[in-house]
Amino acid sequence: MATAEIVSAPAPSESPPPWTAALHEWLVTVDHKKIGVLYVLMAVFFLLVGGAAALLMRVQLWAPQLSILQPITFNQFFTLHGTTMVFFVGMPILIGIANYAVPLMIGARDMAFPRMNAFGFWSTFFGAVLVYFSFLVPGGPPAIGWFAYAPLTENSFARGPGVDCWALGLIVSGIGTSTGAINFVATILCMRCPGMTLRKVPFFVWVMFWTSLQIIIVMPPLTVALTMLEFDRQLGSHFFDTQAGGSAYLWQHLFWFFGHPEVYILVLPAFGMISEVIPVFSRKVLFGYEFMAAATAAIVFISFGVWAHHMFSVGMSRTLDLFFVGATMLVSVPTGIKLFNWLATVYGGKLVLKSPMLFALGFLSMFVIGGLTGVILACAPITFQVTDTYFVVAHFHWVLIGGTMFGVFSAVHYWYPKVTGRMLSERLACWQFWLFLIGFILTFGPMHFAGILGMPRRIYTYGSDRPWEIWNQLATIGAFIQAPSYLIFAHNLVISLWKGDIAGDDPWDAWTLEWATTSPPPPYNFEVVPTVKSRRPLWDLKHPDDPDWKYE
Amino acid sequence: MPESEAAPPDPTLGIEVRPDVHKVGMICFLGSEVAFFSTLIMAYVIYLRHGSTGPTPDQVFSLPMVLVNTAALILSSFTVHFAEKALHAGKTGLFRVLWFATIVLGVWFLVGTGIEWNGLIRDHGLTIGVNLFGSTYYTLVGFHAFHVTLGVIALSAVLLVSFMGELRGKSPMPVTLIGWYWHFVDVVWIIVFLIVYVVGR
Amino acid sequence: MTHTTDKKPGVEMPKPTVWPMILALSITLIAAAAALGAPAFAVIGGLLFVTSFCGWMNALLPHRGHEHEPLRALPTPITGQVGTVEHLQPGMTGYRFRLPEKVHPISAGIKGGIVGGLVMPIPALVWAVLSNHSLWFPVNLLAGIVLPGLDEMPADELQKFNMLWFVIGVVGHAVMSLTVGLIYGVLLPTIPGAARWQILVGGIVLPLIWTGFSRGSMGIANPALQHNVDWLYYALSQYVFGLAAAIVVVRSEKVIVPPAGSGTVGERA
Repeated sequence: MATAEIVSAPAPSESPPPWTAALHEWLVTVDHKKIGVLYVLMAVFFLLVGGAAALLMRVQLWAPQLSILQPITFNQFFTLHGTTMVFFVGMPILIGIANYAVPLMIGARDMAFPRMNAFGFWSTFFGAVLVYFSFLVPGGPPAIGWFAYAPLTENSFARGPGVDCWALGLIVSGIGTSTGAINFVATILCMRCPGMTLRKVPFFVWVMFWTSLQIIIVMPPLTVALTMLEFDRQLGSHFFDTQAGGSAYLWQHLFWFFGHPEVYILVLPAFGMISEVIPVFSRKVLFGYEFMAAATAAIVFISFGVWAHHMFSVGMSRTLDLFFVGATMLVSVPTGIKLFNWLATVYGGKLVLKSPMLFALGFLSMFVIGGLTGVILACAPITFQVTDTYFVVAHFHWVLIGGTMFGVFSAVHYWYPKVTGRMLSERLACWQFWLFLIGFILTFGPMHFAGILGMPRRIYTYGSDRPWEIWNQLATIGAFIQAPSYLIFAHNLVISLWKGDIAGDDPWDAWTLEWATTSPPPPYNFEVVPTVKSRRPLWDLKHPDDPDWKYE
Repeated sequence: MPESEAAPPDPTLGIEVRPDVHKVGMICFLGSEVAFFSTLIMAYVIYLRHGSTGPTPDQVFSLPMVLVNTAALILSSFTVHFAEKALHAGKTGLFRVLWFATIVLGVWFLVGTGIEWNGLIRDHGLTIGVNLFGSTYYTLVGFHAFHVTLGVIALSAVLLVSFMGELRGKSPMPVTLIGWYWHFVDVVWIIVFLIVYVVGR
Repeated sequence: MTHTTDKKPGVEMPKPTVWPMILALSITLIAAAAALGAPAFAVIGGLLFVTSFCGWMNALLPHRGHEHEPLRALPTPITGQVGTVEHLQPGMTGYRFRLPEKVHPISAGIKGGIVGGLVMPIPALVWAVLSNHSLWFPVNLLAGIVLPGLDEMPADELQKFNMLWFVIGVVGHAVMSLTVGLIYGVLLPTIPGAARWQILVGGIVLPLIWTGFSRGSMGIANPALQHNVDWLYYALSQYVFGLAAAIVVVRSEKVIVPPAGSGTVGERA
């Protein structure tokens, strides 16, 4: 009988062999909450791994002509650092948090396809393992940069199987990401609780819907490009083989058709997280929900037409340059709408400066700067000057850390009490926040100057006659201020499991459905499927004299 | 969760319709497949007449062979459609026959492709590595054949389930979804056929 | 709301299963076989693939993939607190602080645009007369914004009346005037201080900005105008427009806007 085979129900009174039982429970789980946690744990692990590689590179760049890392090792490190941070940290942590939160927020008992959800996680994970397996193959990991421009990836330049491990690992993890995205769309379209029309979903859910559509459309071209690369390497085809008429330019188009929407995939969910945290900690409703919703859709649509702004220096036609400059500039309009709406939400609110809000405010201030350098880089003539310099490195780290990571930290501090039933330590969170903020600014701020002074990215060292040393030293100091913040974060996650204060069901006095169940939620989330009437169902319950549904 | 007393009954609650998860999932999957094949077709078109050496499309293709294959695949789209109708009408026997016919036509297409490729490789020396045309042609048509193979496996699985007596209801979800997938694969072939064998020649 | 939780003591949930993980592992092994050129991996991967695929499909058959989760403790019920919502009231800090209480009606902007648009051509026509051009010359130049190639026309062609050019010039002028007038209607009341500051901005500052902008960009938008224009008179007509439109807008009667939304500030501390 089915009831006799329950393995996932924790049974604290009995004492089975504890760690094997727990391991088994996590390996076979199809519960969206456990899978979400697995995603986040995987991402935190790879965050520390990718961060360690970054630290070593910063040490190597401390002074001119150091030889702490071999040139080839340096190249392998920045390749793996980029790949790891994009594919094995950024996407898993966002998808993981969404995996945990979305079904709870829409009042569902699980994702639409629970087994496929597990498959998605394990594919992502094993894909990452395959990429890292390249450490064990002859020739070591690939040294091709995260966007792996052809023909550097072809057999003639990259002989070992490292590139193959990289490409096939990304294909496997891409399959996982795609199934995850399909799952989100089906969940959000079909599993909402009664009363929750698409206009009444929590904003994070809305954002995840659009992000998932984006993943569904841009992942296959990456898969195709990687497959062509593998065919070139394994079967001797000529897609990117310029000697036989193939085109390195095609790789750039295919990669960036994926790659630019990818950066929105990395930042849009963070937008959604911020949009949940800021209203709760400002004690006000999200300002301009409809405009925020439309802006999200607009960003997704525009994102399909901006990819070649990564390729201005290739020498496209002037018409194409102009088109992509214009389209890229256009992105700043919906993004600006969002920023002003967040500011308007904060404005006049009774701010509660707990850790989630600290990180959310960090996001607001830092993301603006990253966005502004983005507008600068959108101008083709400026890109001609600073392309492939540290200015670009500074820009995208400012967006991905100042945007995505601040948003993720905000979300983790916000939802941790729901996941574990315990509060994170505010004291450690403050230490983490300030070290992170100061270290982050000090690491990536000077890179703007180094870039404008002409320092190319991806060089393993530089001559002492160059004016870059001081900026590199500042950046390295910043990296070492930043590094402890991640360790504090990981420490806080672990220690608070035992030492944290008991959270209760609704520690932040929040308004979305996940706070209406216990912390941690039961495997079925809600015993009685809730019915909602507005975007803030818990507000309606807490303020029966002035519920939201009167106005929406 | 107790409802707020102040809230009047909402007349729209009872009539909310949520789409079926499996159908939405399949549509999303087919959407990503569209992106997948669009990329492959685009690469084929870009590289058409790009190679400097080796066989070219007008030298190697023999239309009669391909036309028979195409006809088989298009016919299979009809058999799968009428199989669904038969099942809906409760004619399980007819359903199994038509469904099996679909599988046979799919296998026919695959075998036909195999024979065609054999001819291309042996008689014309067109391999994936010989020139850009070979690279793009085998990749595009090969991935389509791969999808047909997956379809044949899925069709066979449904037939097996049907014989096990586990296929219940008038239009079971696997039958509908695999039907959609099969039509999709068919449409992709028509586009590939037009681009590779008609326009591209 | 078809969930029936009362028949059995528990909620039906998907049963944990190892097959999705094994399937992912099998695909990875096949990929690893391709990457490393090790067919043994592919054999193991293929076997695992078939096994896990069949196992997974088996779980999809009715009544095989589910189990009953026993019920856990209920969450604490959420209780409402009446009177904890803070509403904006007249006299409260922030009430009507951010929005203007009174605004100009939309018609003020339209009127400003019309008046400005009517007086704007005067300096242009004066210039045409004084510099021995025909009266149609400025109109034809204006049409050059829309019509490419006007700058390559012979000079006396531009002096003659041309119905198409005339219609384009007049329509373009009217649309621009109305648009700028509408913008003035919204923009000028946001300038703090007395009405003269609004007139200063609308009549002097803004025309200065766009005249300067035209001076720089006219070569792209309208080369015909660039070649022939007298920038003094051009600027003059912009100022005439700006002053007229600004004065009309600022002098119009303001209307009270009803408050939007509930006026809810947020929760009472």
